[in-house]
Amino acid sequence: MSSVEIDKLDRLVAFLRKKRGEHASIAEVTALAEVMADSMHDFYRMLHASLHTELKDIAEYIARMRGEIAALRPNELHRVHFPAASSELAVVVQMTEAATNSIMERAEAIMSVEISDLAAYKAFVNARLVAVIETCSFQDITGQRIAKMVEMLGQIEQRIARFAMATRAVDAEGYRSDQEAAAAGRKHQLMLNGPVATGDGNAQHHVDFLLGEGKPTVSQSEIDKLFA
Amino acid sequence: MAADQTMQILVVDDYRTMIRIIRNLLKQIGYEHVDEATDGSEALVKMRDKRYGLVISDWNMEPMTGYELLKEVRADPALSPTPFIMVTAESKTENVIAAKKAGVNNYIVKPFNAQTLKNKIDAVFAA
Repeated sequence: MSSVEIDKLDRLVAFLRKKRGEHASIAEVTALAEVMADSMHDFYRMLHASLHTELKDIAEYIARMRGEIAALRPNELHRVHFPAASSELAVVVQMTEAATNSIMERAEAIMSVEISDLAAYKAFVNARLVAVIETCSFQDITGQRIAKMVEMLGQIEQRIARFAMATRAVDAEGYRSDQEAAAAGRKHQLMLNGPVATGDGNAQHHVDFLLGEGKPTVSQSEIDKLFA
Repeated sequence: MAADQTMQILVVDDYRTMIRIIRNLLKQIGYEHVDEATDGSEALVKMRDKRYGLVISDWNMEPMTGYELLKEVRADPALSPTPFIMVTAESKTENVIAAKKAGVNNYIVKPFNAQTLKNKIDAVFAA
């Protein structure tokens, strides 16, 4: 509020004090209202400027977040990448299982065959071994599918890492749902760790030692690690 | 005591392929009488219906895991004496110790071969 307006207001307040108990005229009330309105206008202008800066900062932050979320491309992840990865993995599981069963069928046939003629036996075994070799070509296809997924996961990892850095995201603790909490609880309680990364689990000779059998032996790779 | 090659063995695994592999390996080392179950609860039903000389079970199965099956077997006086071998990819120390405390007779880490399977069966029946 300017010093002129403060002065006006002071004079009006002094005038009203003087006239306490008497009726004020409409002109006096109007003058007081004008001064009040002017002073409030300035107050709101100051408030507006401060609020404007705050709101502008918030708007810029929201726009930046929207940009980061857009760069993450969550809809694409949800609709394209994750379903694609899921179906690729399902095919890999199917192909691996089919190939394993096919190889086993041939092996079982060889193990159970009873042919006394050596040449016939050799031809029988040879045909099945060729089929086994042919079946092993599944590894080429599953390998390519897995390579595609590794590449896709690498891209997703990069996007999420960038998003986490840009938003300075802090991971929430706890679980998103009762179902998620129950699944994690069951995993923990029943020690469902699954196959562990190489070096994290126990080799058979370590398991034997834990069960009280054998001696605490170490494998060549473990000895090599000591000398690395 | 040597293992009886004519005994009935129950193989429990949620992967049919793995059951087939174990069945073939058992055949190679002289055990022909093999039944199968795809989780702990199915195995329990079979065990209450028929006497088995040995149970070979995976750990990670749904709805009942091999670990839960082991504890159920050891808690049931009728089933409790049945030898139990865990065959699993769960190779962390906490798993091995927990299985031992629950009364497992032996523990095989996947992947494994016929000789390891034979050694462990022999060890169970030699004890």
